[in-house]
Amino acid sequence: MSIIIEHLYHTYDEGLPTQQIALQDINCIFDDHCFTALIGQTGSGKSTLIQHLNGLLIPTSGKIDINSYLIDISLIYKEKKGQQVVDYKAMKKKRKAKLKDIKSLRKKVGIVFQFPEYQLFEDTVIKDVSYGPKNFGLSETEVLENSKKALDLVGIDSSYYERTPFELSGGEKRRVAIAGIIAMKPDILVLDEPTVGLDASGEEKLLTLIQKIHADGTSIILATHDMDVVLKYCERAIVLDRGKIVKESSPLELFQDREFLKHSSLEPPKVFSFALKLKDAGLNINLSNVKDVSSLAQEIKRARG
Amino acid sequence: MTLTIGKFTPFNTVIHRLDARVKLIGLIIFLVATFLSYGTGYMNLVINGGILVIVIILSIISKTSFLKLFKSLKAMWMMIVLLLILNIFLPSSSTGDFFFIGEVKIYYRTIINVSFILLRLIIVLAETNIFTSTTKPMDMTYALEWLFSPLKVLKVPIHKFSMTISLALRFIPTLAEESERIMKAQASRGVDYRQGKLKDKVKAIISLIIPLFISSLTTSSELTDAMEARGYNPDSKRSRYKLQKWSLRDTFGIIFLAVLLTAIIILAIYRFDLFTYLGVSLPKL
Ligand SMILES: Nc1ncnc2c1ncn2[C@@H]1O[C@H](COP(=O)(O)OP(=O)(O)OP(=O)(O)O)[C@@H](O)[C@H]1O
Ligand SMILES: [Mg+2]
Repeated sequence: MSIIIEHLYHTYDEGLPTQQIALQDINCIFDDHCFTALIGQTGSGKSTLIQHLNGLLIPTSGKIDINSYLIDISLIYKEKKGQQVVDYKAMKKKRKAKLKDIKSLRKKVGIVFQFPEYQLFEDTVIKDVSYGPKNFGLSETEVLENSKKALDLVGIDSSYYERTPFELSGGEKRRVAIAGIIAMKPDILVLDEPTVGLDASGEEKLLTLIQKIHADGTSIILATHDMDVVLKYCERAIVLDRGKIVKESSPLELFQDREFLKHSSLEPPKVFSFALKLKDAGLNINLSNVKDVSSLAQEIKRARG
Repeated sequence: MTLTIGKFTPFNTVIHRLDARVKLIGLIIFLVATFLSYGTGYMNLVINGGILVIVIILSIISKTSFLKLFKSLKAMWMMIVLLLILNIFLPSSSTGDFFFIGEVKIYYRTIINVSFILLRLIIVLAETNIFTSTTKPMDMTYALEWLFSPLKVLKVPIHKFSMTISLALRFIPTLAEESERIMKAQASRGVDYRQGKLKDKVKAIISLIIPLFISSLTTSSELTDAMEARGYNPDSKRSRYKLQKWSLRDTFGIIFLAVLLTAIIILAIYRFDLFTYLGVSLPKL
C-alpha cells in the first residue's frame, strides 16, 4: 500500500473573498510500511493534506494514487481563440463528480482526527468501536473480534465494554475513539496530532501503541508538532510550510541540517541538540543511535569506553 | 452543504456597506410590497414583476447569487407539488375555464394561482437572501434591537432577546464547522450521508446529531462561564463596542425606500389600474 501524490493543489473557498490556498504543488510518496511524520506550523496544511488521503477532500488540481485508487484532477485544457487555456469549468465538474466505491478507499486508509473523542455516539463502548467495521460490511463475528482486539490493544479491558463512552475520562475516550479506527483494520493509519491534550504517560502509551501497530504491518502517517516524537519514532519526516513541502528527509538528516533549521521555525529536540554539542566537543557519538534520553546515555557510555 | 444560501459573504459592495438598519427597513418594505394586493391580477403581476427586476438588480450589485436560489428551490419541489394539489381541490379557485387531466378537472385559474405563489416565494427568498448575505450577524442583531427598542417602554427585555439572537447567530458558523468536522470523522468510519437504505441513513444522521448536541452543550456551558467570569450582567445598561456611522449613502437608501413605500401604498389603496388607464382590455383573471 503506497500513496503517490503529484502536483496537488488545494484552495479553500475558491472564488470567494475568503479564498485561501492551503496546499501548493505537493509531490510526495508514502511508501508501503512507512512511518512518516508530517511536520509544520499551525496552518501549514497538515490537516488539509491528510484529508486528501481518503477522499474527504478532493484536490483543486493534481493527482493522488492510493494503491491504484486514483483521484485525478489533472489540468484540462481547451482551445480558445487558437490558444491552449485551462478549462476550469471541466475541472470543477470532475471535482464534483461522485467518487466510485469510496468505501473501499476509506477502509484501506483509516484517519484518526484531532480530538477524535468527538466522534463517539453509541451508548456502549463496544458498539461504538464496532460501528466502523460494521459499516464496511464485515461479518458479525469478525466485527466483534476486531473490536475486542482493538480495545485490548489500546488498553481498554472488557469491564468497559458495556459502559457508555460519554462517562469515560478524556484519555479513555480518546483511546476508545482510536480503537474505533484500528478495528477497521486499515492498511494505512493516519493520525492528526493524536497526543494533543494527553498527559506524559498517556502520550507515551499511545505512541508505543502506534509503534506496535506499525510493527504489525500497518503504514503510519503522523501529523505532529512534537520533535521528540519525530526523532524517537519516525523513519521519515515531511516538513510543510505555508502549504508547500520544504523538506523531505529522515529525522536524522533533518535535525542535522542547521542551515534549514535556522530558516524554518523548527526547534530540534533537546536531546539531539545536546548530542550534537557533545559530538562537536569531540565525543565520538553515533547520532543515528540517539533517539531519546536513555539511548543518548547509552551512546555516551559507549563513546567514553 | 446547503447552508451556502443566505450565508454572509464578505464582499465589499455598496449594499454590504449600507447601514444594517436601512437594510432591515428595506427588507420589511420589500416583503410588504410583495404581499400586498393591488386590485386586479394583472396589476399584481406587473408590480411583482417590477419588484423582481429591482431584486435582481440588487443581487447583481451585492454579488449575491440569484441563480443559486433555484437550486434551493429544487429541494422544495415537494412543497410545490403539495401546493398544486391543494389548490386543485380548493373551492376558491374553482371558477372560469377548465380542462381535464384524466378524471381530474383542472381550472386555468389554479395554475395561475400556483405560479403566482411560486413567483412570490422566489421574490421573498431573493429579498431575504440579499439581506442575510450582505449583513454581518452582529449588525443584524443591532438592527433588530434598534427596531424593537420602542418596546422598551413596555418593559420588554429587548436586550436579553437581542443577546440571545446574536449568540444564536454567532454560533451558526461554529456549529456548521463542527458538523462538517464530525461528518468527516464519521465518513472516515464508512458512513455515507448521501445514499443507502433508510435505516442506514437514520443511523448516519444519529452519528452526526449526538456528537453535535454534546459539543453544543459543552460550548454553551463554557460560554456561560466565560461571560460570568467577565462580569456579564444581563440587567445592566450596555454600550456598543462599534458604532455604526450614518453616511450619505444611507440617507439615499432611506429616500429611495420612502419613495418606494409611498408608491406601493398609493397603488394598493387607490387600486390604480394601468390597463384601464391605457385603454387595454384584457380577459378577466
Ligand atoms: N474548512 C476550511 N475552510 C477554509 N479555510 C480552511 C479550512 N480548513 C483549513 N483552512 C485554511 O487552510 C490552511 C491550512 O489549514 P490546516 O488545517 O490544513 O493546517 P494545519 O497544518 O493542520 O494546522 P494545525 O497544526 O493548526 O492543525 C489554514 O490557513 C487554514 O486557515
Ligand atoms: Mg490540523
